Amino acid sequence: MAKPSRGRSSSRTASNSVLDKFLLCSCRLFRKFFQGLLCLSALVLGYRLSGEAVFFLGASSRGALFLRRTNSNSLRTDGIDVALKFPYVTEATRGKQAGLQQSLPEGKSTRVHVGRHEILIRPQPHPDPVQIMKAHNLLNIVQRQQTLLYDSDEQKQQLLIITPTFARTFQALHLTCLIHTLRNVPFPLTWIVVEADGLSNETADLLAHSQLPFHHLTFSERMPAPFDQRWQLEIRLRIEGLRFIRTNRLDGIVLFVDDSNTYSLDFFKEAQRTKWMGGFSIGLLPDFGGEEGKSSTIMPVLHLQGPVCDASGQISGWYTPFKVRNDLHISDQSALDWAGFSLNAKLLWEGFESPAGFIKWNRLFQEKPNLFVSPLNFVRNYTLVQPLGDCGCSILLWRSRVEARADSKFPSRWEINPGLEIVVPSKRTPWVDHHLQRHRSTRHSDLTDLNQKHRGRVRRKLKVPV
Amino acid sequence: MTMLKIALSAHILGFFQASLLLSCYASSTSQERISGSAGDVLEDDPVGRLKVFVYRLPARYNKRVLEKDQRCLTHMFATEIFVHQFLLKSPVRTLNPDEADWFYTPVYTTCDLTPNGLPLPFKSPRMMRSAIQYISTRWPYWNMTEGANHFFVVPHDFGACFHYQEENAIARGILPLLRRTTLVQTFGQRYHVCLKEGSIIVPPYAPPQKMETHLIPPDTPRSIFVYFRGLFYDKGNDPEGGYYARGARAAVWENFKDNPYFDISTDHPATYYEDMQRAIFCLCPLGWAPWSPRLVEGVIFGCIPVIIADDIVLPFADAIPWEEIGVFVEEKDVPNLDAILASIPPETILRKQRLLANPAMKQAMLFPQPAQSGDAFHQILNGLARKLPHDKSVFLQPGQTFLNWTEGPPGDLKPW
Repeated sequence: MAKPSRGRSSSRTASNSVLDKFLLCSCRLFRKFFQGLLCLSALVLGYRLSGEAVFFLGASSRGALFLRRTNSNSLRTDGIDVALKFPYVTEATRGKQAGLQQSLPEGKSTRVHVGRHEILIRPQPHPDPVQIMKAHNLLNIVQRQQTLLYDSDEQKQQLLIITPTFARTFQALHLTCLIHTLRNVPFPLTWIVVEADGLSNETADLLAHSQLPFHHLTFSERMPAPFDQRWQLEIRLRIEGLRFIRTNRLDGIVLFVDDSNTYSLDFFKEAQRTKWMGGFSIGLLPDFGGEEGKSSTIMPVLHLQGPVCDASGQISGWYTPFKVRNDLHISDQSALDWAGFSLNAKLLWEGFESPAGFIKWNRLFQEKPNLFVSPLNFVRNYTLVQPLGDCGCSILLWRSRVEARADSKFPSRWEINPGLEIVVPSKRTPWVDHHLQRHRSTRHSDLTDLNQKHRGRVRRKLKVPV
Repeated sequence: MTMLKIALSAHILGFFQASLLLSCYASSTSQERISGSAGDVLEDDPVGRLKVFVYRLPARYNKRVLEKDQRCLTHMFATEIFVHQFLLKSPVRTLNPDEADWFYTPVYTTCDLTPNGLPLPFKSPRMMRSAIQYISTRWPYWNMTEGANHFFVVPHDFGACFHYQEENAIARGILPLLRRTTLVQTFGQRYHVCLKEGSIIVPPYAPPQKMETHLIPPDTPRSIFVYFRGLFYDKGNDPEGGYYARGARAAVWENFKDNPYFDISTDHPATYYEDMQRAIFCLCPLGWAPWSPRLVEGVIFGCIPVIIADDIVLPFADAIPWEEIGVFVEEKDVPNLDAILASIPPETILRKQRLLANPAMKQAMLFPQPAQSGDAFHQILNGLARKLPHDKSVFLQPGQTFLNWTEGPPGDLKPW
């Protein structure tokens, strides 16, 4: 509620009796006299006392004057307010004060009055970390309740996440990030990890510490070294995952999550909207040796791949920076990344009556088993794919095939045992280190020996804490 | 055999009832019923319970005042105009004053605005006095009760004290002629001269359409802990500090300006209403007067109001259990505001949010055009209906008189 800036000195006083005027005049005279007295005392005692006293005498405003009048019972002990000895009582206000006292219930008094109040500041006005933590917890609880109340209409289906992987230098990097992403997904999920080249300790170790429900499947074939030949085996690994879902009749929404991709949590929320088959937009970060060479000079190179909708929201095609043939059903589906599709697991089940336009699993493998290169094989007509993520306009995942050189080495399970060699010693002292001397038989030759040693690289085995 | 069947069916019924009760108390509901000290009266319908006669005053008391300044329809004191418009069309209105329980005088005392839009109260006592003189001379009903069955809408800062500065308002007191009437006002503070016993406290006017256009989906997570936008210091009127808001707003600023969970500042964001819907607590500290439109905004947007105003009386306090809906913090406890708010148990917070989500609660704070059932207009009528039937003391004995027509400062006695 704003106040007009009219200044505080504008209003007239409320009463008009002669007694009033007399009191007012005597007030002013007395005040002047008192001020003079305090001036003199200030010369003797100091400035501060006189300053406070002048303030007490209403250097500010009539607010202090009215203090007495409005509150007859209470007395403020803290703050700078001080009651004056001259109650400004008039005919009008005397009646009101009497009325006021009558209306106050027994034993109750108002603590509130007009006038200057102290601005209370606690001694350490910094944020208290304990309270901040409590506030944070409250925010969490409120938000959880909100999702319970308002998101309950949306389905919370299980997510079946198929990840093809194999042991390599960058696997720990990719899988660690993926594990943390999946742990933050607020839906129930089952992680199906299909590993090439048999079961490795690295993958098993990472999965065991992931705190996620997973199935670790193995494939005997080895992942080829050249990057451009890997995609075919990856597809077979994914099909292996699909076969696992079919055999065990797992229910939910199938997502193809490669270990090197990065996901926004909205992706998983959006995937819940999949009815039978959904398509997402992917951000394709340029890969250093992934599915190569298909960059086109004709189409504009925007590193995205995803469904494109027409005005009514129906899917009308795909955008991809790779060169594709017009007839999408045949061989160039491999240009479309599996990660941009989601499937309803029921389509894989044996004996399930697929809706019109969707091809059954048996038929896919009967016709031409090697033709299964893309989830689009499941549909006769690509218009049956549901464009998700705001009709393909939101990029909810990114693909980046970052890998180390084929000949790079890494310690098994990234554990350092035995210890590493010293490249940079922690001490370089010109004097003899008695600690090192213990191993030497003679003493006088130490200095020369040590000097020679320190000039080059000292090979010592030290235990590096893992 | 039949006894067995009866026993069995009774058991099943009991079981069914128990499970029903259990589901009622489940916390997965989004709203909860409101019952105040007067009972479940928010949903009461006043039609048929009272009759109101609207005096016909000359246009200079209402229409012409409004024609001079159309801003009166949108500022927070627009209640008086909308109550008049509502009563003219309401089914509780009666054209026969002999059967009326309550009498309403449509005089717009809060419509004399400065260029900035703030109402000047200097002529209001004279205007009110003139209106009362008009109705007492043309109709006999004022003199029968000396105004005890009349009600007036005085939405100004300090109600019928007709002043914006508290000291002057207290010095003037309630206009003497209104001493026996029922006052419908926004100001409410216990043990204060300007709050008469039996007044009906109403919320300040907030434009319902404007607030409705700023609603965001309810599943947007509430990520702000405490929210406030407004002044902490009033440099223009209170240069030294300590007078404005009794130092409470300044205390909030000084103690919590560095706190990351307190989103408080003086700017005027375009997303003010949206931000309130993303906050759990909204501070409603006093300013120059204890009431503020922030309370209404907090209730509409589901943000728990934190009321920092000692002894305040909130709107419709007998119908709405404010203690259960809002959080009351004393002005001396402001430095510990973070501890107070963080130590509220989560179930209490969730319950308060459920009470706020009740549409009856939101409706009771609004003055929609046209009036809808359960809105603030109807709550005013409910409040008036609860005061019926009139006490015997309302009607004057022959020769009895309470009011002194020459009472008050001489400036007020001049004709308007």
